[in-house]
Amino acid sequence: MRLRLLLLVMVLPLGLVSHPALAKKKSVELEESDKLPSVQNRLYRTEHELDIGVGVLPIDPYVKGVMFGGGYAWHITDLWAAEAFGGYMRNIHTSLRDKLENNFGIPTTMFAQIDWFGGVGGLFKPIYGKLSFLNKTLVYGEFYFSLAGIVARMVGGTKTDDETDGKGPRMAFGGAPGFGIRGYITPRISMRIDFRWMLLYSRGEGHYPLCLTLNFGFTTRSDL
Amino acid sequence: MRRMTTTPWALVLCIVLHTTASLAQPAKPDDKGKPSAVKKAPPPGAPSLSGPAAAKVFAQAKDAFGRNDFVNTARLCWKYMAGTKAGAEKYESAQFYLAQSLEKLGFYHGAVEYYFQVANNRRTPELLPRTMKALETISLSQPFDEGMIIRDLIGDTDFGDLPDDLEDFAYYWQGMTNLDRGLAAWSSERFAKIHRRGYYFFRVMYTASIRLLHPAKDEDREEAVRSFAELFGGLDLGAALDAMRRRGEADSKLAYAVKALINDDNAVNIQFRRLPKGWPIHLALLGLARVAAETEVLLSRAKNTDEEALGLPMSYNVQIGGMPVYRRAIRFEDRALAIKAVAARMEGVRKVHGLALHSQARLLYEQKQFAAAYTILGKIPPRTELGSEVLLERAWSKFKAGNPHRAMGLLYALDAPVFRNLFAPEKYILRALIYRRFCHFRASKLAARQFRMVYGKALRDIRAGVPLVEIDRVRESALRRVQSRKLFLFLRLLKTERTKLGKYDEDDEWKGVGLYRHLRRLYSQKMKQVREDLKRSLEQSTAEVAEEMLQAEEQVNLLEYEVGQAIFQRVSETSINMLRKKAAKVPISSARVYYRFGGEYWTDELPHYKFNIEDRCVE
Amino acid sequence: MTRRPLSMLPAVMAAVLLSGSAMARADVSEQGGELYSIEKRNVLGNHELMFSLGTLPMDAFGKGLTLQGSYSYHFSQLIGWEIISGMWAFNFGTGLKQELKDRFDVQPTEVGELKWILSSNFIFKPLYGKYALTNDKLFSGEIFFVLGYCLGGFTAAIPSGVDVGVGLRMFLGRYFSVRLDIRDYMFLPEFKSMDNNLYLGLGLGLTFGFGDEEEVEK
Repeated sequence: MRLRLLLLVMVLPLGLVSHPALAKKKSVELEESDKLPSVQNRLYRTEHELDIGVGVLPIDPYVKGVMFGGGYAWHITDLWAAEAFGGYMRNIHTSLRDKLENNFGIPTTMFAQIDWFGGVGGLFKPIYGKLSFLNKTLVYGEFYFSLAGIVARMVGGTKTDDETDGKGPRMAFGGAPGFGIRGYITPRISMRIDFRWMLLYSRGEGHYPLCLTLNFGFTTRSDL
Repeated sequence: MRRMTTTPWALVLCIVLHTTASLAQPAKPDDKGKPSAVKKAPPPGAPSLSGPAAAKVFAQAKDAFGRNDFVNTARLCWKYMAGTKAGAEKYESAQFYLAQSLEKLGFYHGAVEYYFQVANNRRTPELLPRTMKALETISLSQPFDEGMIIRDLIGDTDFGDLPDDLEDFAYYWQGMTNLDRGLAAWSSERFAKIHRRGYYFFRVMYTASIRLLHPAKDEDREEAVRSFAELFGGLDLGAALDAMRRRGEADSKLAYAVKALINDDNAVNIQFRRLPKGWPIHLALLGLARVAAETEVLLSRAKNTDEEALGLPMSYNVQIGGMPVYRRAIRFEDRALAIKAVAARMEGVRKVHGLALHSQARLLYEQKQFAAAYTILGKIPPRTELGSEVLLERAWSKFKAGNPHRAMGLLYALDAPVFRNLFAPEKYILRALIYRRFCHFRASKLAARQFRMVYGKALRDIRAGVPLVEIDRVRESALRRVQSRKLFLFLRLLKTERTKLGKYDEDDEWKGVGLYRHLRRLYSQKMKQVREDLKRSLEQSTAEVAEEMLQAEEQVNLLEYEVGQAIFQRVSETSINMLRKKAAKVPISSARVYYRFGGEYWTDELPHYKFNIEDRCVE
Repeated sequence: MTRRPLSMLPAVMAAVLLSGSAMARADVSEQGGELYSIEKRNVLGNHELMFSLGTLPMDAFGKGLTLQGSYSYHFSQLIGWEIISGMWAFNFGTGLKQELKDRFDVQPTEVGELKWILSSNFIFKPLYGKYALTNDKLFSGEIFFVLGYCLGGFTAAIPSGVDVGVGLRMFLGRYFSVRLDIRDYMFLPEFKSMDNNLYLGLGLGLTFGFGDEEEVEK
């Protein structure tokens, strides 16, 4: 119940600020003899963005992570944005791990995996454009680079002198450079595919999972 | 229905002539009738510098300039100037380095003021070429005080020996000043001294071509023909005549016009005191076509000025409206000089190229060669001519050439944000006409209504007697008129530079010696003067705009009436077949890409819009 | 029955998302026609040769670094046929074998490696467009899809399969383009199981054979 009310409270302000009268419109004064921008009045823009989506961490040989999460981004300009994101992991053992655990009795705590993670960072969005589909309709999109600081809760890992059965729960810290592509479905809904390479460090050990996410973003602003 | 099609073209040609004259703005003289001079106010309490101390300050200034420390250079130069008298040994040099520093820091007008001082006084002759070069560079790249530099300095001054390209700069503007004063023979004499290559030659060739069409008096007409012939040159005229004879065009008006200018030895020899009617326009087209052709070839060659590249064969093909006239190869010994001359002023030559193409297109439109006019308008390089004008003229040309879909697309391009302040009531008139042709009567009336939405308030204010400069839409439109636009852009530059000066407000370096205060006053005075000039210019421009707005309203009223009538009339067979090209279907695969418009304007797309209108006219 | 807020949520969200769509938009289709910008596009010639570097990253024990070459025939700007595409994989161990030995004292059985792949694919290129870099420079590109038959050269077997993929092409002028390919090679050993192999490649394409070019109306 409380979660549902919380979701409602989060969504309702979007309704208020998405009203045309309140949507911020940046009018650009252009003079013909000046060097003109490629796009004079960009229509697919975002200001406040809420994302929800899923993802995978597919590289680890012992565990494949399925992520459920989302985030918030504040698009300061068409070029720069700040974001915060997080994800909760559902970890699926690979057949290799099952064999090691079942056939060879390796404790499950010997395998490192992420329980959840969160991050704060920025987006640099230099590329915006459109594709013509069969010369009939247009698909708009953008490409961006991302960089974030992340924190993750991890369990399991290589054994140490103190933890002979593998590492216990701990926090890991690091960064996550990456890039992403956004396609606009409607003026207020877009789809994001993000590739982040997480560089985590915890208790003398580094972890470098690749995170691929697919998010749906809901934005308050459109100049359409 | 009365069209506005021919009226703006004739006006525009006059405006083109004004552009080249470029001196229609009278600068307000000060009380003594002399141009406003820089008043140098010594900083209060600033000590005078003795000889050795002054020399030391100047040496420090030069040293700072050598280290690219322009802020310090400016401060030290000003300190020297404030502490010595005008006749001091290094006074002009200090003015020169102050001007250089200001130019490097982006204070172009401040630089121009001090360059003017150096060039006007000429007490240090070795500084003159560098000063003139700097003034010329600024004149080609920035809005600047044309009255002070062109009329007061260059127009009336004999500079003696200058390097070739700077001599051309001086001769060109002296010629233009004399032309503006109605001294046709004097202007021709100046123009004749210009070297037959480079930016100023093409400018003067352009001017000579336009001059054929609008001489003020009969004697000017004869002088205009003679000047044109001398500048065009006997060789080129002979080549044109030979080519036309070979093609069997010896009986054309152009052939006769060219023949009237040369003798059998291809030497210039004017055989008519006054050219027969219709001949001047052909010669003007020839002159413009040559400027366009020669600049096109030279601009492409000027990208590579290696010794090897300079020696490669080069020729230009002069065509009028797509029809070849003649081909001329540039001699080996002239190639390198011609290419280097263009390379030295690429942007200027590019603009002349665009100007020549634009004027040629307008003349062709007047001659009802609409397809040719459209093609040539499409060749105008970007950012040389006003994009809005080119688009609107292309729309008219395409409409007249029988492709209303394309014309309509170009009209929609004029709704782009960059053209927000564009004054073009005929945009709505042409749109309404095209819709009417396809029997979209509602859309036609909508276009007329849009005109009233945009200009309704301004029209009401005009009728109510509100001063025209106070009506926003009239004022904004008037600011885009050639002469007002120049002043507007210059004022904008002054405002930008004065705002930038604010950065030095906190800087004790400039404040301590009084330079900041002096420059601030300099800019304020100039802005006040330019505002006055702009106000005077706007009085004329706003009257023109108001007149055009009222005429447009009449046309819109008539159009609405005709649309109302057309709804009840059968569409005749002839009107279906005339001027209506079927809209092509959009293919799913093609060598072309179709971007369906959704409200977002991309700058590179503006010339490529096409509006596929469904034809609703049926028997 | 008390109203549950969550059941209102979809309606609220719909209202939120649709409320702003009344923003003014130049809807020229209401005025009896469609407005298009019609431009010349970068065209591919009939023939294309492509060379690329890639990777087969999914195998936990070994990653393949690949060299690929292909020849395609483009019937039009919309469809083409990648007549033959071949790649050779240089496999590098990931260190997992050693890790298993060191950490768990376990030695895995030898598994077959994927050495080469041959394929032949239908190409569908429905998307062409342009992108602005920092709202200044423009460059053009297209997105295409491939579907076809493939043959996998494993150490122990040569199964057939199907491959499907998507690619992005950026034009570098008339003759050259850069291609990014993402493909999934799905091998079906004896049609009893499916072995997925993800491929990522970056390559350079050379096109020629332009024929008579369509005159673009200006």
